[in-house]
Amino acid sequence: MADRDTDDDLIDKMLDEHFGMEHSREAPISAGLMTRLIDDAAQASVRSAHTAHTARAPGLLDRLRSVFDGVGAWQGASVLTASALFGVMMGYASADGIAELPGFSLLNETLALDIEAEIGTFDSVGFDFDLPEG
Amino acid sequence: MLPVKFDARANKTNSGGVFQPRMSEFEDAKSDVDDDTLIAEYAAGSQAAAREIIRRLAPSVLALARRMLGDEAEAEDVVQEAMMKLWKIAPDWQAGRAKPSTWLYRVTSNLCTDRLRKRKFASSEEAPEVEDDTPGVVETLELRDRANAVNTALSGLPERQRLALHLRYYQHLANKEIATVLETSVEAVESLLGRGKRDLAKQLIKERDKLGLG
Repeated sequence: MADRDTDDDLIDKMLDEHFGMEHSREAPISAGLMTRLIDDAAQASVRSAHTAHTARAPGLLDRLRSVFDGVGAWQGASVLTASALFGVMMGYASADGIAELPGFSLLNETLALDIEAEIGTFDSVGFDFDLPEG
Repeated sequence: MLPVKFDARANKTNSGGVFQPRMSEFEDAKSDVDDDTLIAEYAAGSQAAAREIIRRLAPSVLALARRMLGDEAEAEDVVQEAMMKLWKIAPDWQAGRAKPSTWLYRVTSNLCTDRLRKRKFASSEEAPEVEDDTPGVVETLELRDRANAVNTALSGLPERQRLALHLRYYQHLANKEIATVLETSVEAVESLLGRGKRDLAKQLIKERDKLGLG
């Protein structure tokens, strides 16, 4: 020892001897501990792989965005979707109700024609409007 | 990377339940790989790499934990905790930043310090005597007694002094590495070692007669 630790030469010598000895820097690992360590390593590896997979998996929004990003139409599509939804909402809110909605107007037209056709046949039926004399 | 399925049972022996590594061809190949590469291989899914890391690093981590805690079961728990931290950090491990062994010593010493603090808080009992069971080192009963006296005196030192002495004289770390483990400067480590040895000697003077030095 370069510097003296105490005034006691024997103690200093004893410490020098003790620390100067080749102490084992390793302790034997028991089979039980080894199994625990290996199990932990395997489980941590599986968890890590699962986490990485989850982090990589794209969501629906991500997939849609990637599609629109490709053609630079993401914002345009959003505007179109919003406009369509607005139109439908306005159709429902109309005073004429469901008849104002696209598609339903055609149905209504068809029904109206049928009614007119029915009315047109009234003349040929030959109703007798005269009241029977009592 | 070769897919290697490891069966822990294949490596067990009945010789006192101590793990005896079975050196397969694959393990021989792994023994040349540095620790950083092994961690990267483990992060990529290699369990053979994990086994090699354990074989290389766990025994010295256990030795440190045993010396600090003086309790085999607790020391094993600390090793398990420390290694688990290594498995978790493996995907983000940056090669060359710190030696894995040094990193593990730091984690282990922190875990041991936490346990020692809890122990002190729970009980005012003295730290347990740490037996020096290094085979083939202590040849006579007198030397064994002296070694045990030193270890007992060590267990009474302040934590950082004790840890510095453990790392220097039992784990054979250089002062620079000890500084990394203790997250301090090399000068501070030198000071800790000096003070530690002086305090140790003061403790041992009280035992002079018992040690056959009277």
